[in-house]
Amino acid sequence: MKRLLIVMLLACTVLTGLAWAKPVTVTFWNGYTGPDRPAVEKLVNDFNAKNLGVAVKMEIMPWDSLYQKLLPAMIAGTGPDIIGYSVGRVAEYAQAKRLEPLDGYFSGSSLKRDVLAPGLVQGGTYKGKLYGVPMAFACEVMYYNKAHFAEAGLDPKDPPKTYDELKAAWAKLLKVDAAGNVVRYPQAIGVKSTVANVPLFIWGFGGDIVTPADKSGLADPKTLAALSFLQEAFVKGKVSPAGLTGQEADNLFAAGKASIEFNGPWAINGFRGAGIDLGIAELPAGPAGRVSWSGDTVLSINSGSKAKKAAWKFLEYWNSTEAQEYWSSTVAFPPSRLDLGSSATLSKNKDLAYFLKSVPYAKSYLPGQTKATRIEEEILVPMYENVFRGLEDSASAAKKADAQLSSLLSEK
Amino acid sequence: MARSYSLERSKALAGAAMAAPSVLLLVVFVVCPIFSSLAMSFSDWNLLTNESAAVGLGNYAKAFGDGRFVNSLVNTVVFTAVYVPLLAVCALLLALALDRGGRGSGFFQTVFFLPSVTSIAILSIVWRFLLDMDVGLVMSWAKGLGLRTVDLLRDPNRAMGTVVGISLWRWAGFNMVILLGGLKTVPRELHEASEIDGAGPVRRFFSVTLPLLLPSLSFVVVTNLISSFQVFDQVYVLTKGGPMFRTETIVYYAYYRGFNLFEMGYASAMTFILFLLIMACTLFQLRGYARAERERGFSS
Repeated sequence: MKRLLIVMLLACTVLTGLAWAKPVTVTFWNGYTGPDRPAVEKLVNDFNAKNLGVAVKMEIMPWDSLYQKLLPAMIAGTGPDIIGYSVGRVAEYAQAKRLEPLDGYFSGSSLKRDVLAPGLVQGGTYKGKLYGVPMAFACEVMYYNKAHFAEAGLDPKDPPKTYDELKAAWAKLLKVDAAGNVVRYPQAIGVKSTVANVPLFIWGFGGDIVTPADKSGLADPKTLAALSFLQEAFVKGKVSPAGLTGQEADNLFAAGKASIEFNGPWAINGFRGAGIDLGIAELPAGPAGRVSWSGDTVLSINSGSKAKKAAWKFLEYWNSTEAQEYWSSTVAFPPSRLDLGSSATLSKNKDLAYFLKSVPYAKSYLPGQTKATRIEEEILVPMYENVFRGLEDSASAAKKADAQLSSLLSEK
Repeated sequence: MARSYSLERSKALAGAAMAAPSVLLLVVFVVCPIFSSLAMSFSDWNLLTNESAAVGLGNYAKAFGDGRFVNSLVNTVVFTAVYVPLLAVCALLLALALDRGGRGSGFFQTVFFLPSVTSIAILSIVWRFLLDMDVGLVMSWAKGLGLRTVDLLRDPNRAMGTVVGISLWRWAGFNMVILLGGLKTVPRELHEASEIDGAGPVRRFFSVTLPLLLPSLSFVVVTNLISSFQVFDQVYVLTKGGPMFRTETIVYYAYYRGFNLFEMGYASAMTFILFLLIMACTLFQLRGYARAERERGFSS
């Protein structure tokens, strides 16, 4: 009996010793299943190789799986320690108290808050507290098919710089066959499940969907001007099929059936891989000037995590100079840090320049908005579909949507 | 007397013991969730904030006042009303055609049956690409033939028809096989006798085949009725309820409210309304069929 006790004590000590020496494991979920996946994996492996006492175990799954699994897992207590996810969802999860506030973690950390790009930091903030640090900072640019431009008599080296030039280009790029079917669309404009497309035009005219004062901007004459511009383009100008998802718009452009698309850096490799003679340029300027979208993904720590300090080490690493230089030069996302402007590594990626130029005038879409999903799906997308199919006049459709949006914003 | 009683009893116990694992699974994974879902429907449990308060029948009242729910109800009923009769007719025609036997009937049976063993989600993805108006194969063939192309998936007036069509394509073969089995039970002597009496093929079909096919036909109609009220997979992949909510069904809307907006209480209430609807239709159908079968001399 005594011997048994001694053996058991020894075993416990050994096991505890082993546990002490083993690094803390943190789980990391994200949705980078696309061409950027290898870059994400390499950064995680590099971090683990540093032996800082933290081992990151990453699980990559498609975005919609991630969002479906995330909440039930958090509730069941089996959620990940770190989540890499869309900045547009921070408000929702922060409001539900599922995210750890990160403001306190900067003190004593090698990562300084003011070196991070303000656009994403703003997006990761909810009610004055920071819940997400940048993961991938992206802006939108204009992709265009140089071959189509040349064929239509446009200069591939001089893409449209204003909405007027864009409209003129659309007219030349439209290709219709003998039976009246559109064979080639001037621009693929997605209206649902997409990175901002219609909002870009609204912003370009100086309007907004939700004003900074948290009121509906849909009745603003500038917003109405944008919608009317687009309605004419869709209905008369046949600029794009109506009702496209982001994926469908990407497919259309990649298949050579559309000549222009506004999209983010993740699309570059796919388009080149599809054999498109790809031209990249900054987005054209509307009457209110040049505007782009900024956003993409942030890293947050689960409020239910048992390894928060360890998780922070990874967030720190991800935003370090070394990691950001690698990330940016590989996937053409602008770096999350403001102090890499003169980096030699970054200038190797030629595409990156267009995104870097867009950073100063890029806006977040519905920042800090907990009802962002509902606004999109219940009010905006049905209005866009209505207006762009020509089923209703843009002014009256916008007026109805304005009433709906005001009532949704004032709900609870 | 005592001995046979205990023999009966031990047989009964043995039977119960063998059925017990399945019954346990059924209770744990089907019956219990149904009851807890019913309980959920009387609360306003929000998955995100994990807050819940009892609201009695509030969710049910909310559903009938919710324009989008009523729309999904209408869509579901329209889908079922169009799909189930068409399915029954198609399956019956296919079964009749292949009942003759002959060369190739085995091959065609396999070909028609094949879609029903594949995943509906994968099928829907494939069809979504095929029918895409701009980059889809079907449309490029149509354009090649000089036909005017229509947008089958993004046109609000055509999307529901497309969903019905693809569902038909998937299930016709499966139901055809069931009806084929039913056709084989029709005694040939009856056909021969009625032929001798001067009945043409059409008369024979309506007076001999159809009445005797009633059990199989009722099975096909009732089971497909139940499952078509619950249509979700094709809608989710093909149209996501669009365009403009024209193909949104009850299950899809309940999924949206429950998993996108995290309103589990409300979503549960919607699914219970669906449950009641299905139960009402099924009971009505079964009573009708039972009476018809009795009239025709089938022992039920």
